[in-house]
Amino acid sequence: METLALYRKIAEKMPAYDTVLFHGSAIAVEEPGGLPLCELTEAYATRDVYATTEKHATTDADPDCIQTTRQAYLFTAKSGTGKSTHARLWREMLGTRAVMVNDDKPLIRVTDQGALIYGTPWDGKHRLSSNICVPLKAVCILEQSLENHIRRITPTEAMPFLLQQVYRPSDPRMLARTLELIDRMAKSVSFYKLACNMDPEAAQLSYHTMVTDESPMPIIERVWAVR
Amino acid sequence: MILHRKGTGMKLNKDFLTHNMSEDYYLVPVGGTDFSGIVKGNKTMGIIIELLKNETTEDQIISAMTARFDAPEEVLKRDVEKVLVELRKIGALEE
Repeated sequence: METLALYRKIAEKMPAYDTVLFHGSAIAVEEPGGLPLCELTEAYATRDVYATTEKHATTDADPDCIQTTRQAYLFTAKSGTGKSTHARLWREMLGTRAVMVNDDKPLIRVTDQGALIYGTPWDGKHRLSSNICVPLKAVCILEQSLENHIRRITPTEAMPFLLQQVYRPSDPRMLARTLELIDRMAKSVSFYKLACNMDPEAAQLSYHTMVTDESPMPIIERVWAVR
Repeated sequence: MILHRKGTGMKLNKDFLTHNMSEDYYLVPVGGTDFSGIVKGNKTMGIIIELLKNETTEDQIISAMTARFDAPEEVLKRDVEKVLVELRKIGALEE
């Protein structure tokens, strides 16, 4: 509880550095043709991401920190829905091509080039995180369902979930900044709503939809029924 | 039951921020308030809440809405009362 209190104190200040704390499970995936993630993360094992975030924050993406061959996907939902479970299905499916950024409360920095998601030591009960930052490609809002179904949604549809899952500072000025950052993030990230069960097919559906989807809006729908 | 006089001054609690996107209007409280949810409403709710950013009364809000919309005054009165009741419930009004 004390460590969470410390994280809250950090989260209160982070909007001043264009960064918000978000409740969700974030996974980074290597794009086909790139180096395996385990090799890349070792190279950055000693890098102090927090110094980058707090002392050297700029509006540009940090070139030493960004792995351009991989992108991150953030699963968010109410507690108990299955965010960590779904992220685990992705890891089982992808093997060394996937690594957890943070399984509970990652930080998201919003830059002019897009959103970057950071691992932190506050990584949930399974202690899954990496000291990395990765461009955030998509946010996927989960709900439980017998049948697996995914659809792309607009930032307008996603906004209630974003407002519920982002950390809201107690200072009105920092909250105002948080809301601005959420709006800016919504311009660079894709949003999906996934109704799913705990079968591997759920992960196959979400992966093939979100990772291969390069199209701009409008909404795309795919249904993958349980066999 | 608490009775509120329509001439009593009121204002939006400074710990509740407004945010809008497209046609949706949100009322978002800072962290640590008793109400931890989010209020989502339409443009009409947004107009009422914008009026509450300055000290005003229920009668003044109804007058402003009557001047702006063609709807019968009784309908507007009812809508304003409904919004104010909900805002009071979540502690979003200072009176």
